[in-house]
Amino acid sequence: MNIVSPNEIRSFITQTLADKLAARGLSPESLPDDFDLLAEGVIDSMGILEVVQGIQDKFDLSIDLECMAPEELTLIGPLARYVAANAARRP
Amino acid sequence: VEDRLVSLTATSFAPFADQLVPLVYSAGASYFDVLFGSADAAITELNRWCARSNSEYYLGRADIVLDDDIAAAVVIHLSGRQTIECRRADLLACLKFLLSKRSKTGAGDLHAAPPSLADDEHYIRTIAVDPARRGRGYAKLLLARIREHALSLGSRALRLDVAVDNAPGLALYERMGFELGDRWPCPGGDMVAMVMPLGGPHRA
Repeated sequence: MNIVSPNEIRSFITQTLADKLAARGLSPESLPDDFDLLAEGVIDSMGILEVVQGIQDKFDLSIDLECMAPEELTLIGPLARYVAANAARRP
Repeated sequence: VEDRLVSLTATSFAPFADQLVPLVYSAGASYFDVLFGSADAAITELNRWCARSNSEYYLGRADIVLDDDIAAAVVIHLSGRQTIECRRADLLACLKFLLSKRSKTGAGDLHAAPPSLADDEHYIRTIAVDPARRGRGYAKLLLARIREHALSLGSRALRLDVAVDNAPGLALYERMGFELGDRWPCPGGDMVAMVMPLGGPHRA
């Protein structure tokens, strides 16, 4: 049983990026599973840091990035699933 | 001077890395300093990135100009598709670095990302000339080389990103035939994309 579900993570990401998505005329519900936050210009290095730190703080967990493939960082569905599968409660 | 142009490869870049990494750093110092927290940390990280084949900054695909056997100028360039793939890997490396070094970022608001690249745009990641060897036409020489290379790949355009306060760079690229594109906020200062359509008149 995961601490958080992929859907909770995905919702948090789209809320965090709501302004950026809206500026591109995108709604959270319309994003495909393989929506690329990087290639679509929604996020950069500082942006992804804010998102990942935001997830850790919001859900009070730490994410192990060791097994992450680069694609799992920027595609919204794979990112949400990776985080859900590799999160641990903070000590 | 064309015989001084050298295309580096996976097996030939290493001896030049000590000369090239500081040049690569100097081309984006204000950004790297914000990202990595200090110049020393930035150089250390860039040394790793420049040696990693799935980095945008990989020197194994750079072209350089040799001046008395010193690397006087460098350009690192990739196809649009390669750029996105490498940028993902760099983003992950960056995230691991930042999470390990900082308990909390001071970055504040989210920053926008650069305008995305099409597969048939050829991207110039970095172009830099040793300050002591400027005014010798090295940047123009490297750009002409890349233009040929991009045309041979069937690319539609050359693209590079430049800091809006880099007046000499903007002037040079405009003289070369680049046109101003989208502008976006970036740590260390606003950036603007510049695009040179290929196949049209070459003004260089």
